Amino acid sequence: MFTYVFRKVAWTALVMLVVSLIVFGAVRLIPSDAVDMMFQAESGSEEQRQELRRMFGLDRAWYVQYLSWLGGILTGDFGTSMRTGISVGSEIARAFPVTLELVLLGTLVGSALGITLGVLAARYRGSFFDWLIQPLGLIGLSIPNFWLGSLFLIGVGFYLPGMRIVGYVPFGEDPLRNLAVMALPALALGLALGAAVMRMTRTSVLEVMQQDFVRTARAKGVREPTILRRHILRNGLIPVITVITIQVGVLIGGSIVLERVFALPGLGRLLVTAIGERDYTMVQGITLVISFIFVMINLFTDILYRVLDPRVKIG
Amino acid sequence: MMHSLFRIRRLGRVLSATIFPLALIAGGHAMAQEACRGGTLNVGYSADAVGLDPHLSTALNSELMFQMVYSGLLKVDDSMAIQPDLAESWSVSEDGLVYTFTLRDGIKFHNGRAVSSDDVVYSFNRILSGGGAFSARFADVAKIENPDPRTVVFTLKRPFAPFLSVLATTKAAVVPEEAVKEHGDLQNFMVGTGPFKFVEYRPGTSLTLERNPDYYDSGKPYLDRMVIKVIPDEVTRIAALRTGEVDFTQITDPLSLQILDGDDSFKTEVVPLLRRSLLVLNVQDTPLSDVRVRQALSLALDRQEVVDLALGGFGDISGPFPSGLAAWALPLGEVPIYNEAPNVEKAKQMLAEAGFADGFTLTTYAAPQYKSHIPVAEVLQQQLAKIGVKLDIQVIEWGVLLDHWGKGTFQTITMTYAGRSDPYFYTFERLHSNSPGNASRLKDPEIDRLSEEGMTTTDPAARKAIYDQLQVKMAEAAALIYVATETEQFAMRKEVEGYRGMPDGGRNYLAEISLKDACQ
Amino acid sequence: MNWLSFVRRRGMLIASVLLLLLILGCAVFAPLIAPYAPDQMFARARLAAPGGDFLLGTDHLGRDIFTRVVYGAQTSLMVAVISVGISFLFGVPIGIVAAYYKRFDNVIMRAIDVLFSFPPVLMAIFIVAILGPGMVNAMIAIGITYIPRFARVVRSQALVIVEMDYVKAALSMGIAPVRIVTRHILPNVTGVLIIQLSLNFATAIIAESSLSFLGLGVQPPWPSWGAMLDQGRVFVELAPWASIFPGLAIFLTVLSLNLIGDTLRDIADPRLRGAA
Repeated sequence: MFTYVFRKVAWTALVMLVVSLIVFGAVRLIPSDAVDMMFQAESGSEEQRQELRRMFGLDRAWYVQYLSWLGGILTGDFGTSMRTGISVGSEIARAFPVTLELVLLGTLVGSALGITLGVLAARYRGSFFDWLIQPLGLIGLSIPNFWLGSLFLIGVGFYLPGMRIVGYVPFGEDPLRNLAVMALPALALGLALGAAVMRMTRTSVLEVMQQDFVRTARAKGVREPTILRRHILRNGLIPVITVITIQVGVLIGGSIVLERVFALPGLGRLLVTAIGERDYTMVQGITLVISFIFVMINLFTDILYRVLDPRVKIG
Repeated sequence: MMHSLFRIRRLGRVLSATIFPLALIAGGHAMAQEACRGGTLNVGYSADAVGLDPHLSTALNSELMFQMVYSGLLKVDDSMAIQPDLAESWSVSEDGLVYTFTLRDGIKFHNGRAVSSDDVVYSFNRILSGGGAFSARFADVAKIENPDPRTVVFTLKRPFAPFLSVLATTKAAVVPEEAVKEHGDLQNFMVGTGPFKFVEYRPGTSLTLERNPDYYDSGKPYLDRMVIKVIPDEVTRIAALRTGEVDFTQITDPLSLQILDGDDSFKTEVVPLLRRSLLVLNVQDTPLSDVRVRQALSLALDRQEVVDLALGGFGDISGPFPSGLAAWALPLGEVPIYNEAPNVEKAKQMLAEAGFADGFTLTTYAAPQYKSHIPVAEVLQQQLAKIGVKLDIQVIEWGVLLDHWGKGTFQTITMTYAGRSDPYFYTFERLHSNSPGNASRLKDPEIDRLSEEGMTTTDPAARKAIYDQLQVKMAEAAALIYVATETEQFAMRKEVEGYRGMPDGGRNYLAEISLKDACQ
Repeated sequence: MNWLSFVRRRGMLIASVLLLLLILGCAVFAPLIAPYAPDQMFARARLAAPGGDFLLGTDHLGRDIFTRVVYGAQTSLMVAVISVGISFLFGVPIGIVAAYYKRFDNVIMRAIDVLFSFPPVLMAIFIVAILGPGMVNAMIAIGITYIPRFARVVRSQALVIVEMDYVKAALSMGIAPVRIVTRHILPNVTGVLIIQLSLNFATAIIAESSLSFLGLGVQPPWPSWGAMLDQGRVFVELAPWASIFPGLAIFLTVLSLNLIGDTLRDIADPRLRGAA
């Protein structure tokens, strides 16, 4: 087991290194640079632009720039934003909790909703409820989340004028206000996940329900709720957890779009703006962080899957 | 029957003769009442500042935020006239080389310290040493001196008529040296002399300001606090206006105003700007190198249709100078080509004379980042098709577009140019053969000469004559084909009073806002 | 499986297939079906309600929505087919090679992992930033983004097959790898592939609409359902038809694709039901 984990981690480190190189290169492939963006369509001679470039170290050879950036990252220094001069690390540190909270809440909402509905659908299989839920699941997968978010906003604007929809405050500062603002985006984000989870839960639970050991337990007279808890859920939820962990990556992507709709100052917003401004250090830093999170989640999934699935445990 | 009707009418007339003047007096009295004091104004902006330092930050969105906190020597009002700000008076020498400013008495920085001419000198040296587009405008300053604590003297290398206009902006703010030393720069911390003081900045979310009790214009501002919230999405901003989380917001799409139309609790404001959409032509490129071709393009345009279709009816047709620049702009009837357009037949004829009877294909770059650029290009495409010119719209990202603009690697570009208060910006900066802002790469000796003269002549009447000539020449050269001026829109709760929009897109009058419900 | 649910499912399947054929028809016969040109602006009829001259109303620039929805089918079809095509063309061979050649498997899968370490939207944003906004680049971006998915799916399935006795036997007999691939691996992978394909079409359409929302996808004047959704959002209260109809189009198309994919999966392997 430990060798497995160790190997996985080592490979992951290598992957991250390649990722950093790709990110570095990709950003520089984008035409136009930060200095041009600063001057916009204003007068400003070529000498002035070159001077600014020198200030940012943009005139050094690419590998020198890469190595110095990489060196900084490893010591925790993500460099300074080319636009504002603010430390990239501090910006990321400020934006990260927002995205994290959104993704977590979305996952929670989606999972809770999905698992509950899925279990109910499996339990009352063939009933009207089940028949209704299935298409709802497909529907949930088919709506673009930004549209859903906008609909929520407009609805709130009309029907719930007292509700707080903008003005993010960190959780530590004002937990109630924070949750109020995060409620709608988390819902918009989580619904798609909920649909996927619901479908998987239903299938998996149904499958487990057919299994012999469940029938045996029933025959032995064990009460239904106990069966549900001890046997069905514990085994049925394994693939569900896998689905959730896979989908979290998708949620990260979805949060980028929703952050714009709900004016949340998270990583996604920061990134899109930075790309538009050709703020290399910022783009590199954020992309690296997001990729890192993503990779960590995948790593976690792999290991979790190994741990949970008894069939795979052997060897 | 008739008799009583007459009587009623006569009664009505008598009554109104007495009531009306009374009403006027009463109304006048109401108007003379003081604006309500107090309250917090929540403002919704579509984009965040990129750094708050007035000397270092170039982004428009930054300026819209630090305008509230800093002051320069001069400022412009909503008719683009130059007004005193920190300088209460000034004089220009006969030869136009020496500008002497007298500072107001008793101005204090937000940190309590009194402002002196040393601070002005420090601030300008800081601007000059910073590099960047703004400092380039001060290239002609030979020296800055301060003979006494309330006097600052600028000496120029050669006469530069727009000098006062260049100074009249918060980008030329006076800042305290100790604040810069303490924080390294003023990107995240603001210490100025303006109507509002810095409280807190949360990047990406909000900027909180409070009233400056020591502001030199005592009595103002009326508000206690102002919170500027960053809400990029329009739907969200309008929703926030409805839920009361913002009291005043920018509306980027004029058509969205209709959404609030029926609602009595809000009012909207449309501000005509000096900003214009235009077609930038690269005159080094064939067939655009032939002036007849360029004129034909200009002649073929139905500018009013562009306003109606692409700008939703919001905006005005424009000649070489925007019509809002009332002191300088020639009436369109006096500008050649613009006064005849659209004239499809003649345009086709001109093309034929230039050897393009069968038309040709022209590419234009346009960026999606600004709402109007692509719709304008689309309408131009439809219109130019009528003279046989196929306009191929290539949508590229703003950064890439700027790249092409700077390097001259384009045929045409459909974009907007910002509005400025002095004709120098529309002429020398954009069309002089040595100016880096001359994206068209036009080399016209007449325009060069006239724009230099306009820049260095200080007598207003003489300048007017020069710029009148220039506008005609600009229309004939057709290197930049101007289409229309745009507008800016705002929506606010009906209790928000005192806002006036500025033609250059500034939001200075936010500082003059008062809230009617603050004193109830 | 009782009769009633079988018919029910069949019914939905038929409906889905019919709908997709309808959309295909719109795409192919757009100029014949649509009453106007997609970029034709009627200044006096901005945000007009459905009815009269404009079957589904007009948008904020006075363009007929019915026309744009019909032409939008072309865009969606192209986006779906080309982007998924790219994923397919690159993903399948990679997956097969990884399964077949154990030596390369590790390296290839690590490379795939690298691609996998970017969330899809992020990667698409990046690629579009490099290539520039626009339909073609959006398709390339979405295509590249989903290569890993295809590769992984194909690889898993191929791995199973490669382990099978008769394949091992064929290998030991010295039969050329190409033949083994075409004769044995491909046919058995097809089932999973078709499922993945249909699901990916759906994802690609939604991905394009997200990119359009961020301003990075299909650019005007091309009508794209996603862009129409975004543009119509602001006016939902004044003119809900401007976003309802393109939204409905996206939704129904994606729904049908998902349904078909689901059904195919049910048919192919009931055990896989519900797998995301």
